[in-house]
Amino acid sequence: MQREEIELKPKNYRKTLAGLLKYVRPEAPGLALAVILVLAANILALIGPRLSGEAIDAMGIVPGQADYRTTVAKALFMLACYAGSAMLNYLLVRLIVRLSQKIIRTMRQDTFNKIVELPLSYIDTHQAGDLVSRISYDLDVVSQSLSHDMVQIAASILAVVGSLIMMISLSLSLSLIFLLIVPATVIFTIYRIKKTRPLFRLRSKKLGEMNGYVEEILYGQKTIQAYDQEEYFSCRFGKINADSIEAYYKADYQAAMNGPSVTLISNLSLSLVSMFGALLFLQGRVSLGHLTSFILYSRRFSGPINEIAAILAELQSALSAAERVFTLLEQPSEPPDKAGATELQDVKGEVEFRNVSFSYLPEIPVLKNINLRTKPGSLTAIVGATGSGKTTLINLLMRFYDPDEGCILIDGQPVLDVTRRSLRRSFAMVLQDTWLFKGTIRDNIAYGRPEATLDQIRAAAEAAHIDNFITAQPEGYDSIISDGAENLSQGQKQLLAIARAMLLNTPLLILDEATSNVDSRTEIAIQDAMNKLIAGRTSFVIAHRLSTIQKADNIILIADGQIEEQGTHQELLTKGGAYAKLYQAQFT
Amino acid sequence: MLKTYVKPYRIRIVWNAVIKMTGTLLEVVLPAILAYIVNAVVPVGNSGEIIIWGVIMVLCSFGAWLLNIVANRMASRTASLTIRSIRQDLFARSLTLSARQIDKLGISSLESRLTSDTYIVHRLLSATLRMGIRAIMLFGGGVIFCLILSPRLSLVLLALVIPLVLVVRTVFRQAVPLFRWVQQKIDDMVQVIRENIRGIKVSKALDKTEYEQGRFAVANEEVQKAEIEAIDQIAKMAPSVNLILFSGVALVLIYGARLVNDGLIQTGTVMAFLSYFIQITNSLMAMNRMVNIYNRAVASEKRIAEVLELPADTNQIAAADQIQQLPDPDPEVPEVEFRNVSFSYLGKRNDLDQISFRLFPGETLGIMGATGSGKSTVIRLLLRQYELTSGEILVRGIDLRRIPPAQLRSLFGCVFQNDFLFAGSIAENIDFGRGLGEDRIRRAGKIAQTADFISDKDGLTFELAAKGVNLSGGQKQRLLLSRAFAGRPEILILDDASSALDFQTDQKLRAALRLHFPRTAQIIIAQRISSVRQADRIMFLDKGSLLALGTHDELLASCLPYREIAELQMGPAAEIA
Repeated sequence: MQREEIELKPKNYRKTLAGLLKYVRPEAPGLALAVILVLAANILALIGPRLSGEAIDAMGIVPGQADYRTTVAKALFMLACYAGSAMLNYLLVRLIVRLSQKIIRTMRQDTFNKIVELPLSYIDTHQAGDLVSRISYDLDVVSQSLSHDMVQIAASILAVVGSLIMMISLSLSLSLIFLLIVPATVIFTIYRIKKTRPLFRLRSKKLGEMNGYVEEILYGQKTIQAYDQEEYFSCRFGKINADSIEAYYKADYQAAMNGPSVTLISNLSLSLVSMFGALLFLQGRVSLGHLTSFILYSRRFSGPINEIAAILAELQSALSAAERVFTLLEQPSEPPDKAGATELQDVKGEVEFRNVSFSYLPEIPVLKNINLRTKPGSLTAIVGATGSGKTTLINLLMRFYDPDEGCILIDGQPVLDVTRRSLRRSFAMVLQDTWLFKGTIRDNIAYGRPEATLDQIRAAAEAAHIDNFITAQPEGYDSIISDGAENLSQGQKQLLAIARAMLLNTPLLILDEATSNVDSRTEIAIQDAMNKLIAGRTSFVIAHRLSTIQKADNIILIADGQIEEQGTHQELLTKGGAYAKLYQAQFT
Repeated sequence: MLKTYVKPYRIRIVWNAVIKMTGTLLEVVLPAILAYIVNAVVPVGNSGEIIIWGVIMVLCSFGAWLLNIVANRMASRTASLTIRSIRQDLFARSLTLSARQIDKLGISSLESRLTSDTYIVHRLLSATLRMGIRAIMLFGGGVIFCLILSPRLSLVLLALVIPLVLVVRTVFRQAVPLFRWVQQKIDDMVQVIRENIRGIKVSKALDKTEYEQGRFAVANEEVQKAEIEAIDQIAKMAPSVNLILFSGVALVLIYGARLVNDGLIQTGTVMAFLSYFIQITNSLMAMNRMVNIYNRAVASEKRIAEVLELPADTNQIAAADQIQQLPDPDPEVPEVEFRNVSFSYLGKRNDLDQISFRLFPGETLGIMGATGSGKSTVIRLLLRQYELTSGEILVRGIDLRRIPPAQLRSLFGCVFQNDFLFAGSIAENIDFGRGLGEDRIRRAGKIAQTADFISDKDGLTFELAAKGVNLSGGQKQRLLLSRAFAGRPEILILDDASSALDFQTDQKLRAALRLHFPRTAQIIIAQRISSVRQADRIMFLDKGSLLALGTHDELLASCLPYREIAELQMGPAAEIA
């Protein structure tokens, strides 16, 4: 709902248009066909009123004079023209939706591809909702514009210009009326748009604020009741509600003029044409049929002018939507591997941090001069307060980010010299926030090794103590994990993530022990599964459990981005420093 | 429901309608005047009269313009005022709904009732008052003038209306489910995007970027297919309507020519008919739009009314004939007593089963157990958010159901799990609308160990973002604790309220609590043994049953799951310590 805060005017029309053109160009043949259809359909529609007029002329004015055959012919011909126009329009809509959908589909895919290729730093610093809205909302606006506005604006211009030409050909003097009406309409429309647009912007902003408030407060409903403060929050809402209603009304108040004004132009044309037409008719300078055609043309007039104005406004918002998409597409993806990067193979598991410093935002260092070395197959426990830099350490290891200074080596090889793919595939990773997607349990476990057989998957699940649960499901391994995995408990999700890591069979392991509240039986299962996972791998564990810490070959206490102490549990306790204090406070 | 809210404006609406009708009438009359000029004035050759009629037409046009604008503005005002009161009442009602009612409705559903549903009803109201009256007038006026001008030629009109209405309704009826289907496909696609953003680390770690791109391609194509199908369907509308309309025009011309030839009507009449035809078609299309808005709005209106008309839940009222005033706390009488309390959320399995305990003034009860074991349910029942299935809960010896709800609530200070912070200053968040004054707020803040960060964050005026996202977890919890302390509660309820605090701060907090609230009964739900081990009693729940009740040492000795957790958290040394 923060959309209105975004600049509504695109900053760089030309660049955005060029970007759009790149996507539109492949569909050029189809678009050319569309243009031909628009032209043909509108020309056919333009003939209609003229034929109606001629039919009227064929009736004559006095009874008994009717040229019956001509009337019928003209009427049927008119119907044929309109029918043809309608058919062409139908084909046009079908064609255009196919073209625009094809274009938009490509744009959506490119945008999504970009999102998943972006470096983690981009994802971390942008709201998920914002990224989603690029694809779902912004591209929808572009698509609407491509499919509707383009055709409509062409048709409207054709209708206005064509009607004018037809009217001039019918009666030049009567057309003079429109010399007055057209400019007046255009000026008035522009003036109205200028006047109402900021009001509508304000209105959606106020509505957004109200939505935000409602969402916020409703989630606190139980607390508000517990403190007996329903009235207080209703009062606060009263003001926000009144503001949003007032903004709504102010915009409506001005917009209330639009409809009647369009009608006024149409009625005014009818009135003036009737009056002057009748006068001209008296002088024999125009026939009744021409007058009829003239009136019908003039009625086709006011709508499109207004339509063009509305579309111009829409085009603007479509362009700025497209611009937002292109800005995203221009973001650099994760940089490619260094030229000549080798595959990381046969990892023994000696990991070294050498003078590593890192910051997410310049000037706010997160890790400062970290030095650390692990032996193959060892267990390193990382402890420290929230925000001390534990997760950052992991992020650097996985090369989600690269250090600002210093380097990380695996088996003596700088990680920058090996391919990201091979580096990441050497790790298994179990994060605190378990990620499962909508799909079968089997696919979720085998996510990192889709070629794994069911037996291998089962073995991993068994080792993770989740096989019993899975086989108890009605569909077994083919049971679908629904959206957000709400049908699984926190503990089950963790066990699935462990099974997924188990199946990978990598030399290195990253484990972020969760501190979530699960029942003790699950807790024991998780711990046992994690122990199996750790066994035989060089492991980095962000540890919360005493048992893990006690078992670690090396404990690293991080405080304020630095390694404050390291050593084994006993060593550090004996030392009686920061770790010992922490241990006292936490566990005794 | 809408009727009640519109009622205060009924005189206004009548005026509004009169103005709108007059305005529209001024428009409808125009083609008839044209017919009159052509039929009656032109043959006489009186240019003066033509000019007079022409000026009348121009005046009518402007008159219609003015009246329509005035009417539209009145309509906007009426609609705005109506919606404002509906929304206000709906919000107030939402806040007072009982927990069960909220569970049943769902918060996100309530949210959409307050936002999109009220917009939709707003649009309907506004559109009915503006377009609705106009469309009916244009249609009715057109038909009436046609009938006056020539009843015979009007037969064509009759022949037209039925197929027109049929076509429009059929196309729409077929298109609506298709558009719903499109929405479904879009939702699926968005889900893939969301999953990917959330799981970006995993997919990068496992080198699944290309695979995910492929997964998206499938969802993407589905959207494309659905959109094309839906648009193809709705695209049938315009040509069908045009075909029917112009068939009518052709019929008017052909049949009109015969009537003119027979001297039954004049040519000007045929000309006017052509104008009325366009007008009538437009009004039909407008009415169709109205029906669609209306259909959507009816559903919205129902959803709003459903909430507004919900009666107060049984747990929200004290039995009127049995109301008892709460006495002052008495060290001999339990502040809180549960007697064989059982409760079930869904009415099937008991979520709490036969729970009994007593808590005296100044005592602390710790509650432990796995997720879903019923810990939070205990306090929900105590706060009377839900009604018991059986057993009784006594506060100072009085049955909960006999205590007036407001009096009951004033006893408690509560912090719930992931509790509520709103966009506003720190002071407002602690005060929470109670008008406590800065002094009490500061004192409460001190007890809750907020001194350091409140001074960090420019004191009490620091503005929180919604949900307090600009605070750390520990800061949020301390703010919430301040809120609970500031009300000088007689019973303090803390549900997972200090889990994000570091251990030193947690210790200091517990010490401050003992110092400042010596006579306050406390109920503390926790995951960490260290948070409850000093409690007078610890209750260990397992699947809604009371597994053990006693001190830390007693539970270590008697309750195996408790001991397992203690060992996990504190090491085997726990037993000795």
